[in-house]
Amino acid sequence: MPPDNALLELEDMRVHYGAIEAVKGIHLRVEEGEIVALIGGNGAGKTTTLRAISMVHPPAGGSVRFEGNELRGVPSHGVVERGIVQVPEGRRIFPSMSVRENLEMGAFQRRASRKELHDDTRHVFELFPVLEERRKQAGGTLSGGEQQMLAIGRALMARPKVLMLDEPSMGLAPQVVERVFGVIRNINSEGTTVLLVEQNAHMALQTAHRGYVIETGEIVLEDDAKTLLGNDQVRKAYLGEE
Amino acid sequence: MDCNTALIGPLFLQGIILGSLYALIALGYTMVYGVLKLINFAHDSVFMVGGVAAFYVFGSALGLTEPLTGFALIVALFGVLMVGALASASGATLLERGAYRPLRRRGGARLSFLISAIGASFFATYLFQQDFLLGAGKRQFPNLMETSGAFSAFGSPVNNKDLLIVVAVVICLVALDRVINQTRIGRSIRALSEDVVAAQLMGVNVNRVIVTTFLIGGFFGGVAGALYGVNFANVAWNMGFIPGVKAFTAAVLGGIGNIRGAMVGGILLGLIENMSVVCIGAEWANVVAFSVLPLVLIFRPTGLLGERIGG
Repeated sequence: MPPDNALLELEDMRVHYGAIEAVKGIHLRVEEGEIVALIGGNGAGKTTTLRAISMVHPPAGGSVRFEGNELRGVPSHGVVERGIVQVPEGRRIFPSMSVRENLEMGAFQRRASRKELHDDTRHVFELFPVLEERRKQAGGTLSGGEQQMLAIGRALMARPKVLMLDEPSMGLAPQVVERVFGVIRNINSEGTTVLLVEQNAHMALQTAHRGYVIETGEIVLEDDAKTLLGNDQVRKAYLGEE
Repeated sequence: MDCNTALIGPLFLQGIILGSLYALIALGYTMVYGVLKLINFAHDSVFMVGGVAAFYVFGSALGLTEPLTGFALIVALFGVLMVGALASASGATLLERGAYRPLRRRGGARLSFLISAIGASFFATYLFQQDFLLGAGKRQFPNLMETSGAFSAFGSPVNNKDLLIVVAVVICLVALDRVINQTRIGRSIRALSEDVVAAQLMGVNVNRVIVTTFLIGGFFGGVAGALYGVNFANVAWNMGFIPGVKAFTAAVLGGIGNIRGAMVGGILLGLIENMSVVCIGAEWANVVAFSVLPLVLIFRPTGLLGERIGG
């Protein structure tokens, strides 16, 4: 039996797209202070899982509990209010808003004061100095790496308890991926719990404490990240090793 | 083609005045399109409701028949515009709850929203045609303000009603621009119009933003409806049809979804329509105005300023 102190816990969560069951009753647990990686190939159900937790596409069955309370039936803005914040796949920066406005959108549900906004923006600029240089530029004009940093910074503005990241490495140059994962580790060491969805299994498992492997909507493996990195099945399927 | 150049000055002015009315109505189309990607064809009824409500309160209920002057006039005009605005804003939110939200909840297809919009427009229009509401004919709007010349521009006189329209529209446009670009609710409207999922993930309450958008668009549509009553001295159940389609055309011309585009498109359409009278003739004004729609869609489908809501 898993311990009771899970911060976020999925039990038999099922998600449908019309008649198709994209996520088929998964169990997943994230404890406070952890980095948990959910890895899997294209179309395995990773993004669907995160969208379901955020209640953007609510699950059709099972339960999603956060701090012991059921999230099903809570609207998406309520999920953000409770402290689960997502950095979506493809970053989804607001293209015509400036970098600063994008960051302020991150703090939208907090109704933060001017002073809080200022302090939190400062903090993000310290993490990602390039964003400060670009603060007046429209979000849509940033490079892929800068947009990823902005997306993470924007999510941090919400002061999340759980930060969920969907494919933060996608489309980025290797050095930029290194930077981004370094920042994820920093954020975690400052006390934020992280649920990380990745196709880049190597990076994800090196960063995470524990990992889950999802295939066609089902969890097929679950273990410590280090053990998964050494697992033959994982090495063959996701790390490109023979 | 005989061009009557003596008409250029006065028609230029008329174009700007009529165009600002179109712009005010166009805001409703463009804002709703921005957040829902839906052409709210029932917005013409929303506009009508504003004019009719002002007629009820100031004509039927208060029974004002004599023109007012001075402070009383200013208070009455402000009241007329507010009654129109509030009535249309309520109408627009009712419309959203009755005709669109149930479809959204069931995940309706884009086409069903459009059909629902057209249905809602006809429903409201013919409802007001009934005798227990407005009846079939035109109803005389209370003559609050005696028409008089205010000043001259472009070699032609501007009367006080023209001035009222332009001043009211400018105040509305400036206020809206500030709301959209500088307030929390404005920011959420912009976020929703740029990326629905991202907005949700920032904690934006989608339904609340949508209803607020209808409310704001309805508010300005109602101001326009009341201004129409004051200016043309009548209201009618079908008064929304032509201004509604013109405003929709203006919104497309400026770039549907784009607030500043609606302002530019409105003025421009008013000018195109009126200037066509100079050379082609008054009976062609509507033909010219409506030919703008296919021309824009063929040659510049995103409109003059493109599809983007904020500043």
